[in-house]
Amino acid sequence: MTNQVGFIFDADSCIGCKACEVACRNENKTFDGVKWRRVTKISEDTFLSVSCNHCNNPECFRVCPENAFTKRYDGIVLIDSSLCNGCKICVEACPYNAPQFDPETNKVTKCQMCYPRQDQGLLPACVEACTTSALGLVDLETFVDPNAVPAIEGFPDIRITQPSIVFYPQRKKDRYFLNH
Amino acid sequence: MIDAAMEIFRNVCPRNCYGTCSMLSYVENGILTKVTGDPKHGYSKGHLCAKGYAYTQYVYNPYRLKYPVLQSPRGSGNWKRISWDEAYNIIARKILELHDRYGSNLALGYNKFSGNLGILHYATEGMFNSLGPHTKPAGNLCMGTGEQAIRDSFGGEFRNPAPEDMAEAKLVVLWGANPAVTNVHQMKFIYSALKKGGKLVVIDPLYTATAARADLYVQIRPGTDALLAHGIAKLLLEKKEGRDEPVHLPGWKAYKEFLKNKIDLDTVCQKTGITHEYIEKLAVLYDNCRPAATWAGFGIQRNNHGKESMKAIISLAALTGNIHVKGGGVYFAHDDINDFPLHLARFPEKKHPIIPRSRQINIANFAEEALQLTDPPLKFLWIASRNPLSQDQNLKGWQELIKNLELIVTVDLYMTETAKHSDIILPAASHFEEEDLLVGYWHHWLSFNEKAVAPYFEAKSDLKIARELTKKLNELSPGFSNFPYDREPIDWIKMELTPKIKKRYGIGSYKDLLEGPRHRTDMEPESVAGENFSFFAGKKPAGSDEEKNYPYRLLSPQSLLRIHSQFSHVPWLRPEHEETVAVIGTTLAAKKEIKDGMKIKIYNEQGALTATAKTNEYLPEDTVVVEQGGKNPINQLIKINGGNNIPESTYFYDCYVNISKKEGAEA
Amino acid sequence: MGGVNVPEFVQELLASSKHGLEGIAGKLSEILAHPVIITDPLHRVKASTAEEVDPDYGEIVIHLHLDQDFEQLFFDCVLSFNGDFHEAIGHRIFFNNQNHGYIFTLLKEADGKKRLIEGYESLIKYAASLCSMQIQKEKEIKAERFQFKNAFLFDLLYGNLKKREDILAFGDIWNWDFLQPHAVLVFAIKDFNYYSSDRQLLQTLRYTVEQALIQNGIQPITFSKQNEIAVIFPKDTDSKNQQKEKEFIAFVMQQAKKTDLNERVACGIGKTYNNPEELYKSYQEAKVAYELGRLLDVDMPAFANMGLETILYKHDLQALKEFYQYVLGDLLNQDEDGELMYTLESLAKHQFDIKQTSEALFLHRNTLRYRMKKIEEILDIKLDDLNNRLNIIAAFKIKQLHNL
Ligand code: SF4
Ligand code: SF4
Ligand code: SF4
Repeated sequence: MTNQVGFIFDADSCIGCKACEVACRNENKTFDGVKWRRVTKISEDTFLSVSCNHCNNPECFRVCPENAFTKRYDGIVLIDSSLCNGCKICVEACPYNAPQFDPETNKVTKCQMCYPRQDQGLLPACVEACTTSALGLVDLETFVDPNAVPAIEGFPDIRITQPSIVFYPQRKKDRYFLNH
Repeated sequence: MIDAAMEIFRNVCPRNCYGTCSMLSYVENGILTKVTGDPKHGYSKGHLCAKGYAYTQYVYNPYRLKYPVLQSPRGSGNWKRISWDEAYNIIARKILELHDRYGSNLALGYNKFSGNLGILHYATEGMFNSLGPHTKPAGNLCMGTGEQAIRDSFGGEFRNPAPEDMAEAKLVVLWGANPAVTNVHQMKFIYSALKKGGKLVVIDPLYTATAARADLYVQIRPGTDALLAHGIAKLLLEKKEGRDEPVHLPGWKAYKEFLKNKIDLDTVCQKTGITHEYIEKLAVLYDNCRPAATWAGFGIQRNNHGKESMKAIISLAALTGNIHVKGGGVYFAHDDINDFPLHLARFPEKKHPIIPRSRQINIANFAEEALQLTDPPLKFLWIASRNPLSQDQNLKGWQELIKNLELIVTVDLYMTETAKHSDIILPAASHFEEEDLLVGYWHHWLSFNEKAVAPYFEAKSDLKIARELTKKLNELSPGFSNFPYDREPIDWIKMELTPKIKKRYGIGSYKDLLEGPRHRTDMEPESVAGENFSFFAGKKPAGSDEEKNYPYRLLSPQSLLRIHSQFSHVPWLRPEHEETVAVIGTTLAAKKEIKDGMKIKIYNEQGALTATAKTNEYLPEDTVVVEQGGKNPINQLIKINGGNNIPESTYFYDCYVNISKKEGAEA
Repeated sequence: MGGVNVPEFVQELLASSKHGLEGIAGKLSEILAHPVIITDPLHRVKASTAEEVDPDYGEIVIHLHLDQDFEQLFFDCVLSFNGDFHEAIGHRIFFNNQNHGYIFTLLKEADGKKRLIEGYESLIKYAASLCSMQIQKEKEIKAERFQFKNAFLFDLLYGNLKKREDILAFGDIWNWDFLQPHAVLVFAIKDFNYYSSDRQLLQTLRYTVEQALIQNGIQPITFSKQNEIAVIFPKDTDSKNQQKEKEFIAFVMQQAKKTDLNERVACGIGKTYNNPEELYKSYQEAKVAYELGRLLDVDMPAFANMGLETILYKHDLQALKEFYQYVLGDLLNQDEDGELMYTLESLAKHQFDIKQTSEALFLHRNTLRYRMKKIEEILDIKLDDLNNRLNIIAAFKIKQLHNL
């Protein structure tokens, strides 16, 4: 009855186009500085698109003095912002920078994995937006793929929190540079 | 999520972009609340780019212009709201006065290009034609040179294989194209080729986000693409040793002789900067993988060897048997739009008793040529769908021109660099606020753009403005314009859908397009392999040695979250750093004692600008990269000597600069 | 025992399986005219016709003959229970690539072993397949009951139940007394491979843990997720002392070694809470303790004892690296073969006790003293200063936690 939905991120396909990041805002109308999903360049040829990872061991959750977080049976971690007192302890505790402090409301919000969409059978907005299929959604309870890895270089430490995200790493490629 | 109260409309992104994406607009109580891709659009397949997803903020934005405004004096920043009627009055009276003064409308000119590529946006052109001879821009800033090269090679045709077919390629060569930034939807077709065992090669002076995805990336010195293509061709010719040569194709013999006698591989290596080993690798790939799709990006033709480079690349594709082959071919762009009647763009010019036709000036060198006009000089300038002060070369020329103009009217949604230097700004409607018809220049889809919401405050479409202004002119001076101002947008659209066009897109009426965009049905190459094709016919290869008055070549590519200068007011797309960033090579940085984050000066004879340095170990040492647009746009340093001829593109990349650490600059 | 009419017995056996494992054991024993014991994979008796065996949770010890092993379908062995030894033939109940337990047929003094098997080989095999079906069925019934329970435990452990009354009411359904203080323990399989048969191992782990609870007289409240089993462990008081947990864990570990789990189980202990609505914290703490324990090589890591580690783990990595360099940098640079570093690390581990350290390193105390002097010279500090010692201990923890 319980499962764990998670993201799958193909580092070999992501082009850093930020469609996922902006599609999230388009869907969830987050305040200016609040980014539930964020695309960063982690090396000259690798991008990373990260939101809340709906961890198996959510640290946000353990440290919250107001018990504002919950985890659904499908593994989605939610914050009930009405319980949030704005102390930002979860912001510090999360290794992935997922909980975002909204200065307008003085509360923390974060990616809710588009559960209203998922409940209607739709993909999360960010996943739907990804034109290269670098970002996907899987059920980690049943997901099997020997090529997948639990983390790639540049992704924060996954120990303790056990984020619900798996990766495909980069392939080896041939490069010619003028200066090298 | 879809609520009951939500209405959904079909819109089309009209930006100057490969995608021309159909989109679905979610409207609640008359407000645009969300925009998503249209799954029925076979090119974007229901996705948008980051900019597309931010459209609600483009429409509803505190910086968006709401009313016509008048600035007095020009450049003072002293803006005053005026009514549309006042605006039309001022403009119309000026037009009439100039007509009285010079006996014609030649003193009137406009500068309009690609801000909105909707077919109805040619209303501006139509409006000017309806007044009789005037001063009009000609040429194509963006892709003129490439277009010419393609027409020369393919017997006058300017076509593009269906980009969806790239998925069938065994080899995809992206030559100076960076779809990861400028054409994100193409990536999925490329990936699908890779999934089927194809290989991706990127040839580019910059290690772009696309290059990072390539199986093989080859860095090349800017402007030397022709040489590389010739070099590969020569190697392949040697491999063939007379076997299956494309002897049936026109110009083969001359081309073969040229490769044999005029191309020396050592010189190619030396000038392109690429080792023999890697040229060989490219040749082997072209030889072994068929079909091979080659995409020559706009970047290739942004220098004065552009035409030859394009032709050399096309010839290489032909030599390897990749012309008119499904999954192969040469990609650049196409002109499907010209098969439409374009009643607005081609609105017949009103006759003048003496002057036979309008005078043309090259849009790629607009300011300089406009300044040279006499009898009459240019006195009135109408700017629409453009931001030349942020994008054009020769900014000094523009400043000069502005001084000579008596009235500048800019139609825009935002207070752009250009708008700031106008007398009157007319607030433009966004594409959600008007009807239109769009056809891409990359893919072959035709889409209808519905009016999804009422115009923002007093904003109006180019067509609406044309209708109202011509009406006003005729009120003040009957018969001054012959523009059919009673015709509604939908009538213009119906007129574009001739029986031939309806057949091509398989539709009965425009209503079919409300159900979703349609693809061209007649995609088979009309010319049999090579019938009209001819090989590159140069005498001697283009060198790469430029006259450099300054030591470093300046490249100014598009930035990810903008199209030229558009979208700069959208908060969701705000870059992490607002300041201008200059990317420089690590070695050059060390030589100049520049560190990451330091303020540096970039300068040449056109002026100087301050930028923040960002070092990159993969940049060619003699190159500086600054992206277009922003608050302090890089175009102020760009001036192409002597300008270009119609119809060449602007050679933006033939620009040289020097850099230095700013006095007292620290990281 | 000559030829038998197998089909007849097959009918009878099948009919007997209506009465569960007990029925099968009874019928098989009747046919074979020998006592039969059916056990689970942990050798705990599930059904028996041998008089001396207590069918409720009795455990038998199996001594394998030298040339035999459990992997064989049939094996010879000696069972010991109630202080007696019995020769027996074992048969593995193996189905779907998984071990479900064993059927033992006890031999009588007079039997020649081989003869018993020869005639009834296929019969025993058949009985085994009936057993596995039976076990499967029991599991399914359990699984159904389990769903509801599991949902409650999920909500409890993830803090989704914010009201104490709700928790108490749910607990009452299964007679769980949440007025008592509890701590959460987590057992997890190390280096778990999600894509392999490790998933089956988790079942074994859960079973092992539950049986251990029962044997310790504790009603099992367990919850499994991914690679772990969480136990809601009752405490008599909310005392900080984890003696009870640790004894229990030691017992589980010992049991686990008997199974395919071998040494692959590790654990973590959360803090004790009086209020059930706070138990979700204990669960998260147990998981943090588990991870830190693995990093620091602690056998029974308790969150309550890992204050420093938690801080060092969370703190900004760059700052930690700088601290590490500041404390040990000189030694790192100058100690070429790493001998002094190793010595210092052992000292820190043994609370700077010279006797313990020299024993652990097999070093003469004078040699150790000499090395300590050299370390003091290089680092330019005194090792008997309490502050320096604290810094060194912290630096080594940083090293371990962040794989420096
Ligand atoms: S990613 Fe951060 S916010 Fe999301 S569940 Fe994990 S710890 Fe909590
Ligand atoms: S799942 Fe939804 S809320 Fe989370 S990052 Fe993606 S779009 Fe945003
Ligand atoms: S939309 Fe896809 S390709 Fe683009 S940045 Fe996000 S994950 Fe990467």
